[in-house]
Amino acid sequence: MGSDATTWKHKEPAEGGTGADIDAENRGFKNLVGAGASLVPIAFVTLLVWAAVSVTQATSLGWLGGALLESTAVAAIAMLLAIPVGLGAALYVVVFARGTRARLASSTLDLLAVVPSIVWAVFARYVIAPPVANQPLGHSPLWTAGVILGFVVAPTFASSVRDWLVHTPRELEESAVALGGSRWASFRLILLPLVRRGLIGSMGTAFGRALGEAIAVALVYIALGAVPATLGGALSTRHDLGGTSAIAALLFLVSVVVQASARTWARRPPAPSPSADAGRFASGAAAFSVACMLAAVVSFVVLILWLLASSSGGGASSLGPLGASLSLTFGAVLFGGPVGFAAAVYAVEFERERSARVLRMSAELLSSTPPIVVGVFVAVLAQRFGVSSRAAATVALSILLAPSVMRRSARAFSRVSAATREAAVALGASRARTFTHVVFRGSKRYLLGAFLGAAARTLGSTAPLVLLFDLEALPSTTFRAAILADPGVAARHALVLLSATCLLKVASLVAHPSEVA
Amino acid sequence: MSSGYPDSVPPQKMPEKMRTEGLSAWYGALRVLNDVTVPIAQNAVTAIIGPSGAGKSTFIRCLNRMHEIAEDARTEGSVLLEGKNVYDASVDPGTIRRRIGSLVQRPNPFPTMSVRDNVLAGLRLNGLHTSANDAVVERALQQAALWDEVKDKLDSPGSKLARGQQQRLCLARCLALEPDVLLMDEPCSLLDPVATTTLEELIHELKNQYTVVIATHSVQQAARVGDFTAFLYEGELVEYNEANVIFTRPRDRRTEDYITGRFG
Repeated sequence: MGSDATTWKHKEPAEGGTGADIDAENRGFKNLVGAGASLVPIAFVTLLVWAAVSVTQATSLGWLGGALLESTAVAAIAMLLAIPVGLGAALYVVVFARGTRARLASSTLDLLAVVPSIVWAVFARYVIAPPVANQPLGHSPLWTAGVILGFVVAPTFASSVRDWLVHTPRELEESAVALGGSRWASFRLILLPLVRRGLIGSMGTAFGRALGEAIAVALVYIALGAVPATLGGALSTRHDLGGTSAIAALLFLVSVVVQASARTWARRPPAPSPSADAGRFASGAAAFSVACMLAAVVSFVVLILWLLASSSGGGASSLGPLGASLSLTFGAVLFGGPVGFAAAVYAVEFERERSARVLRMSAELLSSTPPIVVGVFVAVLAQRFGVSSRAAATVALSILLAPSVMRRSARAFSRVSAATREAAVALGASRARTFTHVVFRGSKRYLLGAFLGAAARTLGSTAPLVLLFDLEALPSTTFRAAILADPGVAARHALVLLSATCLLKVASLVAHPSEVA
Repeated sequence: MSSGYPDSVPPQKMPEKMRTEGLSAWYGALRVLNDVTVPIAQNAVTAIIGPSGAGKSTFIRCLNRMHEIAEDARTEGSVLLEGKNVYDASVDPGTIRRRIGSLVQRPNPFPTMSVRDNVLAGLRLNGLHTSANDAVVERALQQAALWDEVKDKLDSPGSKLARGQQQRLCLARCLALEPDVLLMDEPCSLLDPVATTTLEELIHELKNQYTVVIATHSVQQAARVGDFTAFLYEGELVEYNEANVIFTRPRDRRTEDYITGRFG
């Protein structure tokens, strides 16, 4: 791109061949970003093929079916918790809160959404599970696992619902208010039908994530001896990579199918708008949304307090695993970052092309793929081709990071309006120049936030990978053993990981504040 | 003719429907309206003119309490509707907005709704039920001079109409609520000349039933549709009078400069 730009600068405008030059330069630009961007769908398709092959090669289908049933049940329980709480919290941020309170609530959701699932799992292992296990009725591991997953999924769901709502046109909400409607009525009759599709998509994504995270939660749960039988059985023999990969593959396939069908279903035209009176539920909805937001804040505070309280006392240092996680994340940013960036450029600049649609679709599906699935996939490849596990983990994290960087960067690019872009093209600029001089410059200050946000999410994803594999040069075995054996050490590890993740997230929020009024 | 009156209290043949008293408005620390007192005559068109940034839109938004929905927005003074201050603590802003309909610059029919549902949106937003939906739709569309153009496509999306039709659909959306006052903030500035003429003729009709306040930066438009004219400049009311007085014998030098095109 750089060399192209230089050639252009030295061209004589009077040559008369400028049109052809622009075409050539546009082609070069498209090929360059297209090459980087193509890695995203390639990764997704490879993952799909691997999943299909793994599932067909699985030896015991009955066992696999049992594991799938259990995971689905756990994910369904999680969704039962996540959908109302997530909707309520998003409602609070967008509809009922204003000003500082809305911004605070919104940032809390952002922070909660990056709490690594492993941290919730540690919390549940020592805080939620024991009292439940001592109940006279006995306890069902399915329920406990489901509740933990609910904690993981609800904030993610809430923040994606909030993003849909915030990006609806302000003027529509205003005209609804100008017609005398309450904020609740405007939400229900005007905003909700607009984001219906996005909501259903978000639910599909959340369900897909819950399905996949079921494995991560089960991993930590093993020590309780109370994991759903078949799923736990496969995972507790950690070296049975074949069994684990078959489950991961199956869950991945199911989650892709769930999400794809949610999207297709959401594309149908909305039903005629209801004529029920809009005001009746307003106060109830307001109270409910406040309660949900309070629940979110309280669970976050309790989590932190517990981590702080139980992590005191001597023991091994937690900085070893953190260092490993950080260096893995750094590697992922180095490799996955540019790919995600190129993908964002392609998706925004060549928006109307069919290939951009394919790119967007695969990035969306990939970004809701649970870390553990990608991790297992890469571990299988590493084992077969003898790649070092560290390199394998970096590749896994890059695959997770790229779609995340892409989504956030694309949003940053879209801050520059189509009219501004067109103005540059109308002045005779090529697409590459339009991008570097107008779009990139206009969105530069949001890009740092985009990268930091993606890194925060990836850092959170490192933990299950560290847990699952014996990564050479990583103190994973001790880390794993410690988490499962001693609450103090587990809490300390979790606290360090959580602080690092939240710090990154806070940095990204400062660089790129969320757009809640 | 008006020499015996103070500047802002001209002779009126019509009773007063609304009135602002010492109205000031702020966005944060920025004062955008400063002590504006304007009477608004019933069944007449009051045009608010002034250059960009004079506070026309803010003035309009203060009348139906839409100014306050912006963060950090604040008002002082009062807005009287039939003698009662709309900013009284006992007054529900929703009721005020229902009685004082408003039309904005960019036509914005609700995109997920059909033409019919757009007209009924105001009723639904207010939780009002009626068994005569079809009659309400027809009456509102008739009044907005849109019925003949859309009567065969009531179920198609409102956003599929031409821009001028969309603006009249938004008008019908207000009219369905049977308001007392209609506010219009630059309603024609994004419309083509034909659509502008249609809407201006419509405003002439509407004033028989409604009280209309229109903000416009087009002096010609104010002269065409207005019975009374208020000239705002830098947030202050420079002059208010009957339209023909303002346009033939303005009292203030700044008004004369503005309407003759010397600035703005």
